[in-house]
Amino acid sequence: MKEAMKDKAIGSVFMAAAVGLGLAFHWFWADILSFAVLIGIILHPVRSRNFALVSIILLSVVPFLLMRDNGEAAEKVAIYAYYSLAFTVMMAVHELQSEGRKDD
Amino acid sequence: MEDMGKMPGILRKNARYFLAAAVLIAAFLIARGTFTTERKNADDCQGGKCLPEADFELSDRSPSFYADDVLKGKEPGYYRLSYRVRSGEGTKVSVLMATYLEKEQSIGESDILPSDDPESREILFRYPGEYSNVVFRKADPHDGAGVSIADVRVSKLDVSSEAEFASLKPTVFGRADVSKEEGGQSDSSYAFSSLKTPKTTLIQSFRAESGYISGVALKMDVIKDIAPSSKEYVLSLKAADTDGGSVIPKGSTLAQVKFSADNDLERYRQADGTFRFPLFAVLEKGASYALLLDNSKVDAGDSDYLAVLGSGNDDAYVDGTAAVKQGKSVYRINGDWYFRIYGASFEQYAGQRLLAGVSVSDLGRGVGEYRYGTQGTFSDILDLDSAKGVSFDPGKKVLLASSKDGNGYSYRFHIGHPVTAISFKAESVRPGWSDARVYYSFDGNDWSEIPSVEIPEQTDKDSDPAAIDQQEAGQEDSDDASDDSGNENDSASPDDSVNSDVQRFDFEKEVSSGGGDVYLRVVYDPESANKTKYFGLRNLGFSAEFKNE
Repeated sequence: MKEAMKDKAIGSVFMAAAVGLGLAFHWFWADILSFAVLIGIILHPVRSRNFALVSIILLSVVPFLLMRDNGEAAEKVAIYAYYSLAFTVMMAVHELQSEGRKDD
Repeated sequence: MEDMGKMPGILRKNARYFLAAAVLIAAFLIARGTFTTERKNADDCQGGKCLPEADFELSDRSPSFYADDVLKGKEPGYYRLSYRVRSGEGTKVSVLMATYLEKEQSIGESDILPSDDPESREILFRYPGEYSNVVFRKADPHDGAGVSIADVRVSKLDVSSEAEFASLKPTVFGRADVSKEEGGQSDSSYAFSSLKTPKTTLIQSFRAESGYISGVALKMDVIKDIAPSSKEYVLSLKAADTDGGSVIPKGSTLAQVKFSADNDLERYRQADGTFRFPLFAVLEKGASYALLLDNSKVDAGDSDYLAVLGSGNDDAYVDGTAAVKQGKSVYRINGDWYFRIYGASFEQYAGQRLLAGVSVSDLGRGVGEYRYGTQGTFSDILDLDSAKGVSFDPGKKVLLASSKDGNGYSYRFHIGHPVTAISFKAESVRPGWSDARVYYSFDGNDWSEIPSVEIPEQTDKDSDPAAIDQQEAGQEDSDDASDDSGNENDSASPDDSVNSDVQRFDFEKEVSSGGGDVYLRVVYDPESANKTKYFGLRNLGFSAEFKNE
């Protein structure tokens, strides 16, 4: 219980630092969110398929934005889809490592 | 020793915390630009050290330039060769006719003076037949000069004897001299760092010392990431109110230039380390204007900003001041930018200003030709006699005016001799754009309309005027709110095709009572079937034949 509280407290400090860093350097809110997600999954890994799903959803929005001649928004959404794909790969590598340890 | 043995265990147990901390530190250092920021100081760039390598047609490595086939198929006779030439250093160029088997014959030589702007040249020559190409060759292939050559054209002269040929008058070319400095402030000991803050506009007001501005030179240190963003700064010129010492920019943008901090910006670099930006506009002498450098579209920060250099002393420039705009508020700040305003002066012809896009040629047999063509450069705006709601679009290289009743521009062509015929050609900038009405007059009072035809042209969605309008609305100055009221053409496209007629003017008229002046007026057509945000004409060409007495 005490360990869990400690973990939560440290996690909150890291998340606050990530958001604070983004605000200090005037990042766009979606970039701050992406960076916070990166720190979050380092501290508490989640299943890779969740990020894969987010990537697919974001990528499927892109053609509709392009059809509406909103190239700038399409470009941004594609970038966040790419971030999500990178997170998918990170988590997939982590899952493979964990499974390898279990097998040992 | 025992503690040292525990270290790997602690690291393993808390690996995710150490990894998260490492990512945070790395992100901080990258955001701060520790690894990637590059600073290019204006003083380090003096002596041409930062100038990009120019691409010339003639250089020491390639001393000959072939204009292939410009003479091919021409009948023997008398011809005029015209071309535009520019050299930063000054040199001499030989001009020859040549066959593909490298048989050559000289037709003339050009002494080229150092200049930043192309100059029009012509050579009158007798063509004996046989030759196909024109060759430009540096007289001294190792003098280090680079020469640009463009617009090589050959036209036949209406002369039939050597005596007539010898009596031809040389062509007079219009030229806007944009090298004259007209005011500014030369202290650059202080750096304005306000542009570190996102969504900030740095302002400098000044008083116009002449009726034209062709550009402004600024001194800036460029702080940028080694992989800089392509997002653009906007440098614009507006009229300003300077009552009570404050600066309030007012009205629409008179001229603007957009550039990103990557190589885009280096295009404007001068040998003395400053940046010279083209800002062409007609000013009111003695009135106050403001230069505005806006970083709203840029991800500005400590590692990506422009440090505008100037003086920290507010009295360095007495006719203006620096200011900062954030949101709707404008704050006066102490100091003045380093800036040099460049004006424009014109050649004289028949006692009056000769427009930059004009050439006046002797056709022989007592006939002369006055020819005007837009050049697709900022100087096109200086050729106007009057303008309302007009700006030069550097992307499309045309003058555009917002589609409002009464908006448009006019020319006054001072020909100085009795005109016997006029012709006018032009077409709408893009298919489906709002139509223009064009009028001509010989006295500026009695106007006649020049007819146009609509030529159907089916377009795909890429050139849909609605889409183009939307793009341009995004680029337009945000203060010009009345113009950004959406797209009037939305309802004009019920299906995928659009009404995409090209409006074309091709008008010729014999004149019996022409005076020495011709006036031309281009205005928005309020009855236009197409409704787009802007209208304009491209390939605008006017010519007049006159009695060359």
